[in-house]
Amino acid sequence: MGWVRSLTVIALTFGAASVEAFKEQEFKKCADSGFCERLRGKQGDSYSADPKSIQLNGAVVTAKVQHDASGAAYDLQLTNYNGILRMHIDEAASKHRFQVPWVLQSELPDSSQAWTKTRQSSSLLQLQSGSAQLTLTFKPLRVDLSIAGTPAASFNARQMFQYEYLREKQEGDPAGWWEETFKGHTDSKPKGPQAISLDLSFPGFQHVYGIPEHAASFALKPTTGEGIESEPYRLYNLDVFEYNLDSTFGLYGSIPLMLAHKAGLTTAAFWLNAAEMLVDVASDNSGTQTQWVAEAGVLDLFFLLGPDPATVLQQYGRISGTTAMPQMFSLGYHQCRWNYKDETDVLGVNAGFDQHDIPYDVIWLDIEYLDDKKYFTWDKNYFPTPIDMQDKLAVTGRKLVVIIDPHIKRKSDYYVFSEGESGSYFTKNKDGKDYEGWCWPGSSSWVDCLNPASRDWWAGLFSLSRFQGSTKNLYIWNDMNEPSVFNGPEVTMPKDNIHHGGVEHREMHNINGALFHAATWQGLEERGRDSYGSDGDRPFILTRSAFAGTQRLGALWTGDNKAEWPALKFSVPMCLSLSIAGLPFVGADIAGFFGNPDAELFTRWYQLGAFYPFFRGHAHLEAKRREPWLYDGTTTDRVREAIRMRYALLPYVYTLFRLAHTHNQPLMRPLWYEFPDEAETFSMDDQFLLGPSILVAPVTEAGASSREVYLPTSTRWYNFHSGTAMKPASTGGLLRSQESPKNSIKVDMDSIPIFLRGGSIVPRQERARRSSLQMQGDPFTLIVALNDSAAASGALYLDDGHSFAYKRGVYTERALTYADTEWSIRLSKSS
Amino acid sequence: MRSVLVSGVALCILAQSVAEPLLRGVDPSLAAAYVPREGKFSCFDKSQVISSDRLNDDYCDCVDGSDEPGSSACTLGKFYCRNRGHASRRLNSSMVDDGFCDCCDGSDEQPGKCPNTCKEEGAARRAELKAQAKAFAQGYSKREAYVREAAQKKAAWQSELKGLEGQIRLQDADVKTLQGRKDTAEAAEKAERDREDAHKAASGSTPQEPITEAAADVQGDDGSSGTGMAADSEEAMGDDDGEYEAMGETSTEEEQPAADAAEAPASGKTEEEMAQERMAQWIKSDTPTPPPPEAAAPAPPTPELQQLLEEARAATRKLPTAQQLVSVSFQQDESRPDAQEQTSTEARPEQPQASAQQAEAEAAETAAEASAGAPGWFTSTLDTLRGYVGLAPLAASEPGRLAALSAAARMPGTKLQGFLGLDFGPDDAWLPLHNKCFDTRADKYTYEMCIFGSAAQKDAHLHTSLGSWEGFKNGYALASFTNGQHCWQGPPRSLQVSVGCGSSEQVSKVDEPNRCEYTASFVTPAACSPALVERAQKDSAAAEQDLLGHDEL
Repeated sequence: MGWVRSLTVIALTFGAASVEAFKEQEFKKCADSGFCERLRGKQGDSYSADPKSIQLNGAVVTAKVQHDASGAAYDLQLTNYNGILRMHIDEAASKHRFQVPWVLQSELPDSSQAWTKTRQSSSLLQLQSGSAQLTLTFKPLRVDLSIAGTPAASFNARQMFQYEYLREKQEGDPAGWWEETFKGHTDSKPKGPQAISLDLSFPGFQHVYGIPEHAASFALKPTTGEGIESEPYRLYNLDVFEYNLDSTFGLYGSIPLMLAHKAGLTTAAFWLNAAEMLVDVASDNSGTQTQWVAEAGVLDLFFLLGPDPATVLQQYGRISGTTAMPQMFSLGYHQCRWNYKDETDVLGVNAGFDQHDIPYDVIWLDIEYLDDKKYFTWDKNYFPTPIDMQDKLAVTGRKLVVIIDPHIKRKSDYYVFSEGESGSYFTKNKDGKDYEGWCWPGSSSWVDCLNPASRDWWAGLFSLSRFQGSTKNLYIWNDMNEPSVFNGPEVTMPKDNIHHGGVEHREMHNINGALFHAATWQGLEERGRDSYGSDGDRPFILTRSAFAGTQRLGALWTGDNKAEWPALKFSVPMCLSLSIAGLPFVGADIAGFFGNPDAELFTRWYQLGAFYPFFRGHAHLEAKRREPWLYDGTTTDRVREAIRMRYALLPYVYTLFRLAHTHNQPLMRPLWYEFPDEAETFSMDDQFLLGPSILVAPVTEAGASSREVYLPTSTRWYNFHSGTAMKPASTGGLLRSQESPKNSIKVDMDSIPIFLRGGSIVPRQERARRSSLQMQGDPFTLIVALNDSAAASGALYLDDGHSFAYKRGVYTERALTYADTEWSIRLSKSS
Repeated sequence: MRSVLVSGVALCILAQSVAEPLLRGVDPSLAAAYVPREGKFSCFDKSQVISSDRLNDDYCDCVDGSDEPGSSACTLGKFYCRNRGHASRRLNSSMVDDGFCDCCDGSDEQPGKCPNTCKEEGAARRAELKAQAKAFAQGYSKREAYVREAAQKKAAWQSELKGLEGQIRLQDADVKTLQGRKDTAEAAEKAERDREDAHKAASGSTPQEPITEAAADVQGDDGSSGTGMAADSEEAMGDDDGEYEAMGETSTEEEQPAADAAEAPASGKTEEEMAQERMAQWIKSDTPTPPPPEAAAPAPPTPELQQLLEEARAATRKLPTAQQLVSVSFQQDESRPDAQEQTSTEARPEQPQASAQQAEAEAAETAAEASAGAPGWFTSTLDTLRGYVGLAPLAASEPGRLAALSAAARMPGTKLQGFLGLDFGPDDAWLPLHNKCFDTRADKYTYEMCIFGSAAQKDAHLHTSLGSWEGFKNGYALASFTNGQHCWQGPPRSLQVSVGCGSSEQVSKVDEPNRCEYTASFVTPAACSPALVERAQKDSAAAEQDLLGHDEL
């Protein structure tokens, strides 16, 4: 879903400019934001901890901190959660600064672990926990962390830490403290300056990753330093029409988690803060230095001590939760388009898949199915019998997904609006009235999902009895939840809007989309229990906006991309960044939302897309129809092959999701995730691993006849398509040599280079079916790829594919091992 | 190097296939290949020879799927269902034992899972095929009439075109002659003016030369060329009394508008016609006599020609008539604004009342002309031309009108030529549909499609062009209309019509699969062929055979 038509609406309503590509000038740069302008690059403010105030109480260290120049007082708290160090700083006198709710897992405190004091002096305190060592220096305030003697991270090493305290307005305050105007939108800023600058260094690390969502390289590039002129990485959820590639510009989602990796150590930092945030990266011989500036909130920083990538992700999972176990159907292929116009169209496309023997699981409806863009309604002219339609899809296991967004048309005879208005469930403007803005339906109000009562009300709307025309085979797509507001500043909500509890939108903006997603999740979860009993039905909800914790809810797609080769290429680093930031159920629109891909790009995108965790074809309203059979026959054959490949791998993918659910392990992984000591891979983002065993090297250039592929040297690899070994155990003469692991591999249009890691067992289901549901009784095939010791291992996880019964142990999980001596597969209960 | 991939460990085996007389899923025409030869089966692609007991063992041995006709084990396999009482089917093996009943006899799923619905579905299909065979046969017999009609019409068009061409040649000659005469008149006029100028210069007097009734003001700024026009033209054509008289009469008549207005309806003629008639009288003797139209009684013009003539006449009518020019030329009373305006702007919007009157007049004219046919219109056009040329000084300021009139006269011929150049399909069977329109309703719109013309989407308020006839495509399987109205920020609309045989014309299934790209179906007898009729009859007969339980085995 794009907002081409948003511009149309504006053009008709406000006389604004016509449709064109990304309009940079409509969005803020650092210089347009008072807080960024004030704090970016600013160095030398002194903060100190009072040595006399230091208290160590088991896992918790507390101290009084002050800003030396102003005397402003703060409370510092350092808590050890066994591999996670939480550093919390707030103003000493409670000023009710916003503390982000919902994200933190309640089990986290259970893992707190007492510190051992190893040294205390008048200038510092040193503590130990396991292999982690913490040094708190009092003046200027500084925290250094090391793991097993290796420096991992430092707080305030460059003295860029700043914490603007809340104050009374005074005559002569600098311009911009109490009001700011951008492009005709005035932000009233009633609380004045309240930004925080976080100074984080990763000594000895040359590579940092994460802080999605940006259309940028996977390894973050320096944004400051000599000869570098760049905007900082922006974390501010925005609906950006035809976003630019290779840009630090903030897109739809924000996860303030950054990983640092070097041979021997992986570490990470997560700042739980939902305000607009800007991150600068600088790099020199000593390592990587970063500055993070948030407009509001508190400093609530989590160091994830690692020491390896898998452990960092597990630590992050303990903080913000792990990936929801998805329904099996949601891992199949999704066919979407803006818009399948009526029931005949939907059933025609459905039949087209059968006719062309192409499996798929879900067909989608974008906003045109609605009556007057009112959610929870159907356009009766085009969808007179939605239940019949869903039932017809369901006989071959197919589902329907419809879009439901957070903007509610302001129309008194529309029950959702009248209930929302009378229940006071909408976000308020600065004057305390229901906020009114423009979106698809015209004048709209927005559900305030910071309000638990709003979330409960919203959830109730999804019950089968309330949502007319819905069935239990209907699932949901949440779009525009940044929120996108066509006539708002930067196409979103004014920062001085007011949410439940008097919270300013500025303080919670980045979590807005996730909370809406969570309310929808709650609705489908409740519906599932109503329909299926206590084991329920796992919700499936696609979202565009995300925050830390979104992984607990469902899938995300990378928004409105273009049907162009560079967008195909950038989909890999975008998905890797999200995956490594704990949100693994991701994918890009195939084969580009805007425009018309040619057969080659179309084919290449399906060949890559079959390895996205979320696998959906989607197209803009004005794009030509492009169901997989609408190109030439050869293209149809190739796309069918790519989709069938995905279906054959579903047991492997499902098992990977189990690992994501239990251990927070991503599906799409950078090569260094599995081969952390191979430095060549550290900035690589044109190939990736799906799980531990499959290496995917997509072809992202037109007319390619070969591509470079790096095969990690510490194991052997097999051509996934042919089974040919890429490197024998000890003899040379094959495609790859130890000296030059990067090799040119020939490619043709039939497939992209894919390799199977030696030592792995990959479970497959080879039978092509209409949908994943129909594969339930089909046999499994185990692909055993031996390592140099002629051994291999893998895993297989199975359950009913849809309910929460697995939570009470209704599942099968098997470790698969093969050893040379046995020539048989051993199935054993996983530990 | 030893093999390092071990594949194919089946963990889970489906229910054993039930023993049947014929192996499950085998196409009877391939049955022989499944008869074991020394207990062996050879894959169709010759890739392997396997033991016969591995047929349908739910494990794929042959890459081509031939060893598993009755299971879903092979991706490339095909499953045959007999569907007794209905049509047999070949399914992709992905649909075997997938929990969904694909074959009406239920044989693609395990026994007991699917009801046998072949009887009902077969009956429906037989009825459908029977109806289709009937419709195709009717369509084809109708097509024969179409072909005959096409031949007649084409011949008529050709003959009409020939006639028009002859007349245009004559007309061109006329125009040339008259042009020459006009040039002479102008030369004479110039000579006269020069003489007068010389005279004035000599006498030293400056009073305005008295002129006859001719109004110089018509010429506006170009007044000098109009000076002494009537006298000059009279002089130039002075040897013909009739001419002078006719002009004089016209002028007189114009001075009595009330009488004129009352007279026109009474006589059943428009002012234009009367003026033309009069001019025809006084020019006739000077022009070569046109040959009699046809020796035999002329055939009535084809509807197409009638329409073209009407179009041409409408185009001609937009030009001021000679009569109007004449009336103004001789009009002294400047207080008659409508007479002045008539010549002042070519594309002046007509006043409602005048327009209503004119429409009435045109209707009468059309009716008259329809019966008179081409020659009448030609005569009047020619007369109009002559009217211009006869008024040499006036016409000198109207060269564009002369050309336009000449072009209008050519229009019907050019268009007829265009019709004759159209591709009307094999045997010209589509010709009778020329410019016929068919419509259908879908959603809130009516979709209209005029074969060889244009297509449109209409509702009470809007008429949106979906394109103009582009031609047939894919060997007459598709009729294409392109270059319709542009979508907002999008491409021009287009309509692709898939064409089929039917007993009468019917358009249906309008759709817009891509934005601004419409599709529809159209059946017509024109698209019928013996082959289609034969196939439909065969299909219908085969379906009846199925009902009788006849089995190939």
